[in-house]
Amino acid sequence: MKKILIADDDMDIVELVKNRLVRNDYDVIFSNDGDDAFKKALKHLPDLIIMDVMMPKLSGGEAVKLLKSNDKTKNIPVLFLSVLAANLPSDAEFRGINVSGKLYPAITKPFEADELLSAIRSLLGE
Amino acid sequence: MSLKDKKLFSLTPLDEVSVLRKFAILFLLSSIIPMTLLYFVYFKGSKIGIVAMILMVIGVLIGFFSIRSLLSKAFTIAKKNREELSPYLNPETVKELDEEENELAVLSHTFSAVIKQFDNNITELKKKNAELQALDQLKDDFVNNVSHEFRLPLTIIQESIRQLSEGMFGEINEEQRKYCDMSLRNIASLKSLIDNMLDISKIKKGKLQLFKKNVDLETIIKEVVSDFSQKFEQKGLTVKINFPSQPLEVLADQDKITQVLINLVGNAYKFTPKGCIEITAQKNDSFIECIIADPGIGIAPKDLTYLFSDFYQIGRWEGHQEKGTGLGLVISKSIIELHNGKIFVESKEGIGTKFTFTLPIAVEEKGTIA
Repeated sequence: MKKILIADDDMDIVELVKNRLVRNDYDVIFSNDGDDAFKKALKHLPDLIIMDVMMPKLSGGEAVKLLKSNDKTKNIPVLFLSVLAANLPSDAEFRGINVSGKLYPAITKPFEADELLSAIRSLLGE
Repeated sequence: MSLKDKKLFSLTPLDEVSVLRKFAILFLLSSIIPMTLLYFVYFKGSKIGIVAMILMVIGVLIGFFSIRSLLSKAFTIAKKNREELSPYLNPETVKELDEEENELAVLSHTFSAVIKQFDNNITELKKKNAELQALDQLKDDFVNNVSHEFRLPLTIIQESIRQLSEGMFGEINEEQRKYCDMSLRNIASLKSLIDNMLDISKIKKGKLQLFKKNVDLETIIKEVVSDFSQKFEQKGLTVKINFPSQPLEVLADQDKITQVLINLVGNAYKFTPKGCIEITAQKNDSFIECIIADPGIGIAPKDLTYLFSDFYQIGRWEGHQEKGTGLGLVISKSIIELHNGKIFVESKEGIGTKFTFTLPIAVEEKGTIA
């Protein structure tokens, strides 16, 4: 079973995403800030991280920088799930958030469940 | 300092008639007396002297009448100006001018008072304009923030109801489904309102980006019409699409053009109680033209002026039933103009409305159809 880490400071979002993922046969762990997300990623080595952008302690972007600078976590794919993605240009082909010059896929809140699941599957290579 | 202290003319108060009378006496005294003296002293009563004298008198009279007519015109102008300009002056100035008896002074004072007043008005307008611009910026920032703040709760509401309606927590009955669907439908319209507000705020800041590529307009139109087909059917409306035989490739941002068509077709749907909505696309030399014509309620001339303005909704205060944000057409216009196209409207109340927009034809070498 693939393990997914949800990093979001809003517990309602965590619960809803978790519920949907669990029902799609994923193992789900979560954290409520960027700092904790990095620590949990190091400890549990998930197959994918769903990351909010605006979080306490450490933003999603900063957390990604940490993850990418650590050998253990640098290959874990990241999917941003944030209201800020609404500001991104609606290029039909790729919608991404830029962290240190690299584009990471991003989904806007409110999200469509199908869109979220297909993004997860493609990042997990399923 | 009152206007009276600033008199440019130190003449005693005169009316028109007395000015002319005094002028005539002065004129005659100053010309005829020296000429008579000249006649007796220099010409000594000769015949040539008489002729010269008569000619001089004629000359003096012509001069007198032409100057009199000029003066009289000046008085008329002064009176007229005073009447015409008084609405632009503050009441105090008008009162002072009314007390003023010298017409020429009034003329001069009126002008200087008007210029001063205009100067004040311009300064005031500049100040107000700066205030409005600051307010407008504040509004854009507010819209941007609010649209983000709305997104999070909306995500939670939408996802909760969707999970309920998908039966994740047990089967739901028909009535429960109906209520879930109702909620989801309204969440979707709230979401589109927020998206529109964000679009407007991007457009205002010049941050709306386009991803242009060669796309087939016919496909986009057909997709939009097919999305609306159920709604059309329910309302008893029909749709007629006219396409030419050749392909309708345009260089455009597919998502954005879809958005424009949804707005225009949506408006046609909203404002047409019955009949046939006609969508026509045709190719010209360098652009493709798309026309959406409906036999609907039409738009009043007073509304046509503001049709492409922010938040403007026809009959908003007249208890109109149709929902909307009043942003659709502003966004559509901006999108079309960002594509170097044009959008315009023709409408007659009770007859119908016709929206036309143009888009540049696709570029040859990048012949990819999305």
